[in-house]
Amino acid sequence: MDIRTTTDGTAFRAEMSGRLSFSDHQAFRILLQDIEKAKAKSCVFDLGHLASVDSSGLGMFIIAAEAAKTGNWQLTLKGANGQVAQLLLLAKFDKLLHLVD
Amino acid sequence: MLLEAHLSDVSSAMLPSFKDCSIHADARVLIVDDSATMRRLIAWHLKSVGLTNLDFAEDGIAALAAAEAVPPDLVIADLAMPNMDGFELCRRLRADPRTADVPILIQTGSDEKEDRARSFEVGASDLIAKPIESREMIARVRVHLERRSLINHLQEYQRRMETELTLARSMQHSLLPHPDTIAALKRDLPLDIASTYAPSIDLGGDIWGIAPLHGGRLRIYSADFTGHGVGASLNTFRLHTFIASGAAKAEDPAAWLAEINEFLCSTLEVGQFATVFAAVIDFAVGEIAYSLAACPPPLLRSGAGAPFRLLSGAGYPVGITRAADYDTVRVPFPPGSMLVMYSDALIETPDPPDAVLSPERLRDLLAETPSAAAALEMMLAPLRQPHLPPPTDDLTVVALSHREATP
Repeated sequence: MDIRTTTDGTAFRAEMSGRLSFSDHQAFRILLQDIEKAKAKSCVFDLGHLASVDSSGLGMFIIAAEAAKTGNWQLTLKGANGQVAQLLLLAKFDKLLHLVD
Repeated sequence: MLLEAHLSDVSSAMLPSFKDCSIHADARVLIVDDSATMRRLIAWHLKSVGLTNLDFAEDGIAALAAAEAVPPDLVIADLAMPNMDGFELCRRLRADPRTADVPILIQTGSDEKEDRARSFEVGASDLIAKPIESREMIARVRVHLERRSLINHLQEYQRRMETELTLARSMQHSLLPHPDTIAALKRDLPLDIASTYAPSIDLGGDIWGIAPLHGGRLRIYSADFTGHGVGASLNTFRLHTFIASGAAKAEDPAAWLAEINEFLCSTLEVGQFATVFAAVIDFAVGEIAYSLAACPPPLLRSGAGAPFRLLSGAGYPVGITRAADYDTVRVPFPPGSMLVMYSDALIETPDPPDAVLSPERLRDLLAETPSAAAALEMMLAPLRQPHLPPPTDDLTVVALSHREATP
């Protein structure tokens, strides 16, 4: 997976592409630290270019949601499509997380 | 001792002693040179820094014999020697698995460019300039002994990890239904089962189970924990222990999933969870009751000749939130019916969107399948193409059919 991040004031944006899987665990942890450091109030994970995700990748979204709750920032998953959207819906992540088109 | 008197001013006192470094002090160094004086000179330098476990040979043949008797940790060899020269010695040492990795330092003159290049071609690890300069030689010996020692440690660690992982894989395999259990079920109930479980190289989080319930009914489930490796594997032991101890008491699949969810919510770390398929089959009534927790859609055929369909449906994975609730769905499962469940590795090889199989493709492949065993083969065959990478996660496939009464 590749992550490109941008910050605009207190809004953090992370654009993910490729496949989000088990091997991205460390990259994801660092991403969460960066969000924390930026003192972001909101963060959008742009999944529009994410080709696929495995169950570990879904787990990372849960970790992010937990970090958002603890750090008092709002997490939005945006633009999921294809296999990523299918898995998010299969696991009812639309009920657990804030998903937008 | 003229030689040693001469050397007394070439002090090695500036060099740290190998005695301070327990991993090297007992290193065995084989010195190969046709000149007795050079052998003694090199030995003197090595002894001056605490390396005393030395062996000597006057040519390549004697060196091979010495290396065979006691494999050295490092070889220092001259090039020009009678009987067998340093090049051939290098080649022979590299060809023998016992000495293929041993560091070999070759003595060459700095102006002998061709010899220096050839030395590396035949497998030398490094060169020592002639005439011998004490500090340079000791520095190179130190580097190569350290490297050798690190490689030895890593190889030993790797061997130990491989042994441990093999044991862990075997223990995890033993969590799956034993062939005797399956044979007993086939005897007592009108069913056939075919299954495969291929653990990934670094352990994984797949598990499935089957157990008779009273009244000629049967519980079957399959679960896949997030991630790979030891963590995912350990979670299968947690779940197996919970289920095998009878802690999940509900017979209804959705209520049973809720009990497992409650347990895993209190056990797993944030970000870990399992996708699960849970079902109870009533052979007397000819019905299957099932509940889905984010698993890849199982396939079901209700009765002989009926088409397979996907048991699609969203459901929370277990272990994420206590607020999760599950639904039980009941569908007919008369004789001739078949249920097929599988882990996501089957539809994620290679990685999506390039995966060879999808749930829909599986459904089409299985259309005419006559038996559980045939279903298994039909599903696995597409993954056996030589150009495909092996699955990176555990692969589990289980097919269960309701046997038709023999006429």
